[in-house]
Amino acid sequence: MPSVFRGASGVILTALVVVAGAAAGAVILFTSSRASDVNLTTASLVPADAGLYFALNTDLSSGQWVAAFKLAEKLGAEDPEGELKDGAEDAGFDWEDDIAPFLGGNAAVYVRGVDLEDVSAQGAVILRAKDPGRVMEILEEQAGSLDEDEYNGVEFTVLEMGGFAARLGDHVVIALDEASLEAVIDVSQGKAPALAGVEEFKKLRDELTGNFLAFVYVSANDLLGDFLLDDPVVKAALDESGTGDLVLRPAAWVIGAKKGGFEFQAASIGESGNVSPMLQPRESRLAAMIPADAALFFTTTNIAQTWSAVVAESRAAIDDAIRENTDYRSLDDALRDAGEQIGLESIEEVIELLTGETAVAAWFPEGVTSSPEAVLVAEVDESRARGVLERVLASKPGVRIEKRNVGGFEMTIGRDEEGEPLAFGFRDSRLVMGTPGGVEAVLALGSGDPSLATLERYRATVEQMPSALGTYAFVNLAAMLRAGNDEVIPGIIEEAGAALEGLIINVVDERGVVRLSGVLTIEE
Amino acid sequence: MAAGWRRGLELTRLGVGPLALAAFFLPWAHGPGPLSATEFSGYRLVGYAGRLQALDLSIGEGAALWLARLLILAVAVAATWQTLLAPRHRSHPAYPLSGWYLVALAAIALGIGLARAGLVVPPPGLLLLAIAGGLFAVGELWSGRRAPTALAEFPGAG
Repeated sequence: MPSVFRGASGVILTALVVVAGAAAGAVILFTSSRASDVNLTTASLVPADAGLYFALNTDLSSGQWVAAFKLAEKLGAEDPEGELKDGAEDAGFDWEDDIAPFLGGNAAVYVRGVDLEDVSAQGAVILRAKDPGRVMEILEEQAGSLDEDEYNGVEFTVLEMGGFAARLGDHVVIALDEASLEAVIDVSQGKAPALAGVEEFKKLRDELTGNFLAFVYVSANDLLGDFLLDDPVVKAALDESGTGDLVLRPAAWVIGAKKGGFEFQAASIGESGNVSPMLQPRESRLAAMIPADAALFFTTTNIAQTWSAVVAESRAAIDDAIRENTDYRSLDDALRDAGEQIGLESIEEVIELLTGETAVAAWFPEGVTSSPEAVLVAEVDESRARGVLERVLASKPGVRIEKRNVGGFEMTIGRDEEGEPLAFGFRDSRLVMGTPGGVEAVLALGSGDPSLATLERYRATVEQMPSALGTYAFVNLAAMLRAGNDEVIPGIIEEAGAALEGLIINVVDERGVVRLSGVLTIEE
Repeated sequence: MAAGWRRGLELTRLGVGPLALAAFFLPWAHGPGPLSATEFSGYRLVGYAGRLQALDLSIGEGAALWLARLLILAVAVAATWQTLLAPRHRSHPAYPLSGWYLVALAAIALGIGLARAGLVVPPPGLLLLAIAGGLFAVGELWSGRRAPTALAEFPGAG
C-alpha cells in the first residue's frame, strides 16, 4: 500500500474527493431541477409585424405540464397523462408515430393582419418539431401533397387540403397562403425582421413569467392595421374613454400552472395614466379587519386622488357627454343632484373621503347567498367622514337612529321608514359601513380572532400570485360554492368545485408596465 | 501478466469514469404515457424527479423520489471519483466504492429496462453505463482485487 495515502496526503486527497463529489452532485441537482424558461423559438420565425402570436409549451416533461397534470388530478381526473395518450389513440392516432414528432418544445400560431373589408387574414402555424421529417410525412399523409415547389432555396409542399408546408431546420411551417409561408422563409433567412427582435415583444416577454403553458401577444396596431384605427368614431371613443393607450399598445398574456394552482398574467406596454394611483403595488392593511369567513374581498386605494386626476383632465369631455346624454348641464350638476338626494352638497363629498385604502367584503353567515353580510371599510379622516355620514342619516325622513357599543367601538344604526338599516362605526380611524351584522363583525373582531389576513386559504392564494398586488379581488371559492345552490353543481363539477380554493384577480402598475394577473388555487 | 495486457487494463480503468459521466447525460429510458417518445438521460431524470417533488406529495412519495434522485445522482458522483482516482489513486477507498456502485446501478437499470422493454438494445446512456460498469468489474476481477481488500488497505480501515 503506497504510503502517500497515510497522514496529511491521505486527508487532503479524501477532502478533494469529497469536495469534487459534492460539487458535481450540487451542480447537477441545482441545474437539472431548475425551472427553465420556455424557449419561444417560433417567435424567431414570425414576421415582426405580426398582430397576434399565440404560443404553446409542448414539452410535456416540463415543470408546467407536470404541475398541470397534477392539478388535473386534484380536480378529479384519474390519470390525465394516460387519458391524453388514450384520447389521441381513440381518435386513430398512434402517439409515438403521429403525435410525439410534433412535440419539440413550442408551437405557435400567428396572424399578421386582419382585413375586415375582405374578411381575410395572413398567418401560419409554426412548430418546433421533435422529428420534423416525420411531421412533413404526416402532413403529406393526412392532407395530401398536390405539388412541390421552392422559394429562396427552401422546398415546400402544396397541400391538397389547402395550405403550404415547409421544413425550416427543426421547425415546420404550415401556412394557409403562399405569401405567409414566404414571409416566414424570409424571416428565417434574415431577409425580414422577426417578432423575437421587436423591442415591445421582448419587453413583455421579459416582464411576464418565462415559464408557462401558453403565451399570447397582441399588437392591435398590427392586427387591425389602419382599418379600425383610422375610423374617426373608433378613434374618438378610445380617446374619450382614456383607454386608448392601453388598447392600442401591445399587450401579452401567459397562462401557467404551478404547485398550488393555475395562474395567469397579462401585461401592457401602455401606461396606466390617471388611474395609476389605484394600481400602485402594495399590501392590503384592511384584510386584517375582515372576518376570516369572507367569501368576497375587493380592495383598492387612492380613489379620491384618481378621481381628481381623471376629472381634471377630462372634465370638458365628460361635461359634453353628460350634456348630450342626460338632462344635466355638467358633471358637477349631476354630482350635486345625486348628493342632494342623500343630504349632501355633492356626491363628491363621499368620494373625497376615500384617500387611503378602500375595501369591500361580503360573507354568508347563514350559508346561503340570499342573506349576505357586507361591509365597506375605508381609511378616512374620521371627523370628516362622521360628519358626512351623520348628515346622510339625518336627511332620511323618519329615520330611527340607534347607537351600540361593539368591542369598545361605537356603532350607529340608522333605519329608514321602511326599516332598511345602514350601520357604520369607526375603528382605528377606519370607517366601517354596511349591514348591521357585517359592521358588528368587523368592530367585534379581536386581535387574536381569525381574520382574512390570517386565513390560510387567502395567504396561500396571495403567495401564489405571480406579481405584486395592486387593486385586486379575492374570492374564497370554497365559501362561495358552499353558499351556492348545490343543485347547480352536479357530478364532476361538484368534484372539481370541492378542490377549488381561492381566486385572485389583480391589476397593478409595476415597473412602468400595467399588468393584470391572477391565480386560481386548487387544494388536495 | 504481460506488459501489453497490463497496459490495456490501465487504459480500461482510465475509461470507466469518463464513460460513466458521458452515460449520465445520454438517454437511459423513455417516459411513460404521453412521454413515451421522450428520452430521459440520468440528468433529465434527476430534474424530472425534482419537478415532481415540487408538487404536493405524500411523505412516502416524496421520500421515494428523493431516494431515486440520489441513486441516479450518485452515478455522476461515482463517475467523477473514478475519473479523479483511476489514474494514480486506486488505493483510495472511494475508487472501488464508486466503481462497484456503477456496476450495481448499471445492473439494476439494465434489469429494469429488461423488465419494461424485453430483450432489446438499451438506450445509449444505459449501454454506456453498462460498458463502464463492465470495464470496471473486468479490471478489478482481472487484477484479483476486491472492494473489501481495497477498503482494508486504507488508513483507519480494518
